[in-house]
Amino acid sequence: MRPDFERYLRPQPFDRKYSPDQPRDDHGRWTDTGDSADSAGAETTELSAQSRRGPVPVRINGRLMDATPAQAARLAVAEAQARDAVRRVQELDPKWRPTPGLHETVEGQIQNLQAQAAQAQARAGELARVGIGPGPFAGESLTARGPERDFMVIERREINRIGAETGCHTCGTFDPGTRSGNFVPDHEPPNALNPTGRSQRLFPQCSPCSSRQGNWITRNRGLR
Amino acid sequence: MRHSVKIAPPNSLLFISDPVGGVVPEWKRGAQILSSPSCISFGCMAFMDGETEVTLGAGREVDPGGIPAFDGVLETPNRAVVVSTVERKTILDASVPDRRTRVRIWGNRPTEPDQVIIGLG
Repeated sequence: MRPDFERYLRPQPFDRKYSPDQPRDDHGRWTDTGDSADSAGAETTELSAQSRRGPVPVRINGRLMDATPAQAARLAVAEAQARDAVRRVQELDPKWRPTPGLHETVEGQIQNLQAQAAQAQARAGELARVGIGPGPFAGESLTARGPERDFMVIERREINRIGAETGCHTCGTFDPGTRSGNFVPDHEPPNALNPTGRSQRLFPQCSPCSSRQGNWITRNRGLR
Repeated sequence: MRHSVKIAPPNSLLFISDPVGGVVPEWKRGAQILSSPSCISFGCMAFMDGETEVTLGAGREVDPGGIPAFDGVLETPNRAVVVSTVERKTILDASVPDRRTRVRIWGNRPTEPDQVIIGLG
């Protein structure tokens, strides 16, 4: 006999199924179970998730719609992924917005959110190619001590070592393009796009990509 | 009146424009100086390798002789010119008499100059 056989015999909280006596809201969801408020809240969530069979109300464009439990779960995942992807892009490009789609169904909203996440990923790729955010060739990086450019000898040496191993993090070239032969220690996120002082890392960048990054930042933020 | 400043600007890049700003020119690989009707950008010595001395003044005062690396006209609707960084910090400014100003730029070498002279008018 299995050593944990008792858990198959003893009634478990999740074994409790439908009870017509339990209080419910207008949508048929349990509003309370158990004795204490804390445990009741947790249990209600679990039990609801375990035993939902009927439609789940979801709000789409301000309207309540019925979704299957599976659709509601996929919708929640799509919302979280789209929100996260858009937020990451807007940290670097605050003006960017995904193109909103037209949708009147739950499936339409899920597809719309998935499309927004895909747009955000594509935009992040575009930004990386102009030096905004760690680029496609980013390898090792150093923790930046701050936004200042008072680099220590060891930091410059390490940036050159990483550059010699993996190249410019934006374009991949092993030629720094500078008169000195030094790679540019590039703050990511760039100082100009980091008003809240998020932690930054230093990546090796070539001179042309550094110039393009500066041009892009100024074009998109304006001179004033 | 000529003014000079030594600076290691971020991205080794500086911009010349009217104080209210301008349209930043499109980036082109290999170009040290780029321009639009309302903005000129130019590259300096790589910022991690040292400072660049930038001088701004009337063309007749600062002209070092020789062919300038840039010679063009900038829109200056507020009758002033500023030199600023990627991080929007103004490092030099000057008044000009007209709404359009001839701008000439001389550098002490074709790439990564550590001495840049900007002549106005």
